[in-house]
Amino acid sequence: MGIKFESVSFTYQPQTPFAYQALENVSLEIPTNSYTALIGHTGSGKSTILQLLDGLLIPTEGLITVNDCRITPQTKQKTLATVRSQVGMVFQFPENQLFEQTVLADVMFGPLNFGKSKEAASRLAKEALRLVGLPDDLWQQSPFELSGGQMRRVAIAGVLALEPKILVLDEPTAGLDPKGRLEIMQMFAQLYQAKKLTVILVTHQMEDVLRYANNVIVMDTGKVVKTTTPLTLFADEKWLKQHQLATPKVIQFVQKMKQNGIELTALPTNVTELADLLMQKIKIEGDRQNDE
Amino acid sequence: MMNKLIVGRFVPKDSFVHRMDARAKVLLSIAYIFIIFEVTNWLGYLIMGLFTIAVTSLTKVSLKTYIQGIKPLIWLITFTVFIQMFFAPSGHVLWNYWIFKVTDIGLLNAVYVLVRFILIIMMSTVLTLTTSPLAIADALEYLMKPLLKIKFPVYEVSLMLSIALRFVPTLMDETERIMNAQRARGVDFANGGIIKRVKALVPILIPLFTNAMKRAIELGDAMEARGYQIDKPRSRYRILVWHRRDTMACLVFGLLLIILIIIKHFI
Repeated sequence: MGIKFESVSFTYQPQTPFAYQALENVSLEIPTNSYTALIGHTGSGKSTILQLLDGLLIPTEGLITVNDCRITPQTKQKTLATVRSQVGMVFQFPENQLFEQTVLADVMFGPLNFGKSKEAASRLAKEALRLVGLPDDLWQQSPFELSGGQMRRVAIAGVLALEPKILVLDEPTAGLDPKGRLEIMQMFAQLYQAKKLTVILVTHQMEDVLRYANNVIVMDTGKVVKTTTPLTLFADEKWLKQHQLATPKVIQFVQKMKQNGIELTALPTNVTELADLLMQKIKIEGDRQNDE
Repeated sequence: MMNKLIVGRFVPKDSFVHRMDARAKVLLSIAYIFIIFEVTNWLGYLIMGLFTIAVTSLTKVSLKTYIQGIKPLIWLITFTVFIQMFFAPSGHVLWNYWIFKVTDIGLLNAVYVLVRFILIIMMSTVLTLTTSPLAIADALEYLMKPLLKIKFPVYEVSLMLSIALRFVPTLMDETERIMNAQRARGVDFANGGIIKRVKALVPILIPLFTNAMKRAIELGDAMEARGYQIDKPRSRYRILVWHRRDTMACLVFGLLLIILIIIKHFI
């Protein structure tokens, strides 16, 4: 179960002058019910991996297993619908996929395509719209009249209405304001907990990786270079520098403190945790001073 | 799907044909179409075929790429060839059914049309594979200049042309992205009857048009912000230079035409 890539290679436009190898002999495993962050620089092959695991691309070489579906270079386009019904894909700038006359109809589009009845689709759509926090007086409006942030929510609802077991997020908060970003990421985190999803997040926001993910895969020029947990990854300052990856602010803070001789008992994953750790530290120090 | 389209794509390389002036290439490509209609016999087609293959080898792009370029147009070619074959006006009837009849002249014409089609596509592919779209637009602007005398808006048209050409790859990428997004939401472009497939186009075309509009408005704003004004004389960044190799290429084409005319009238 879960998602597994076994020596997968992918070349765009093979056998033409435009051929470009995006993935080279990639093997990786994404456990069921994990929150996996996929990071790496532009052009490292992250998006190709996402498209492969949703059956939008077919590997040039190798085997991909998504739950019990197997995708090989011989797989026919027609059999990929089963893969797609299990995977929900939130693309970059998903608001670009809106087209229906009303918000509700657009969110219902996916469930209807996968064979749900009108009633069921409408129920799923309303549920999803509530989940993303879109006020219900907007449901009968045209999606093109909404603000950018609201359009993004509608598009995400359109994916959530499919009730996917595997949720794939390709930079879901790019271009949103900090408040919107936080709200959307919190919503995904709650959904992950409540529905026991497998979440795969592609992002350049190291803060989000540290805060939400429990598994990290680092890509570099079409290869997997590291699979680990966020805390181990961000603890290795040297390796991050070598691969030109940013360190999250809270970790930077802890490192600065260490340079000044103050060591914390654990690494925090967000600001609240950092504050708690600091309070602990202050308390310990205070107790010690009182003892003296 | 769209990645298979070779016609209309530019492959940057350094070859004799790549270095030629875009104006020469555009003119000669047009001349080529006229020349090919001068050909009426097998020897002529043989010479044309050899000539075309020689030109393609001068571009340093493999012949296989050109053959791939013909593939997407195969239905158009087949259709035209069959029309020629079944609706020939005269000749000795070989086969007859209802309104269709195949005559020896019709059959011969069909083969001629097939060869002509393939050769013209190959030569147009030479133009687009070796010339950047912007260079083609520049060349057309230059070639249209005489039309300024009759108040034809040459500069505006050529600007529109270069913008249109510039956004072809962008729109193709965008189409691919939107198609992927809708496929992930369960749209099936591969299965179903014609009506179902046409219906599947709506979720692609509407986002594509809205995004294209948005982009056009943004581009317009950016141009105005940098002081673009219509009707003002424009200086240019890329300057086209006619070299000796361009004159040479024209001479070779002239020679080809003379040989073909001689063959037509004396052999």
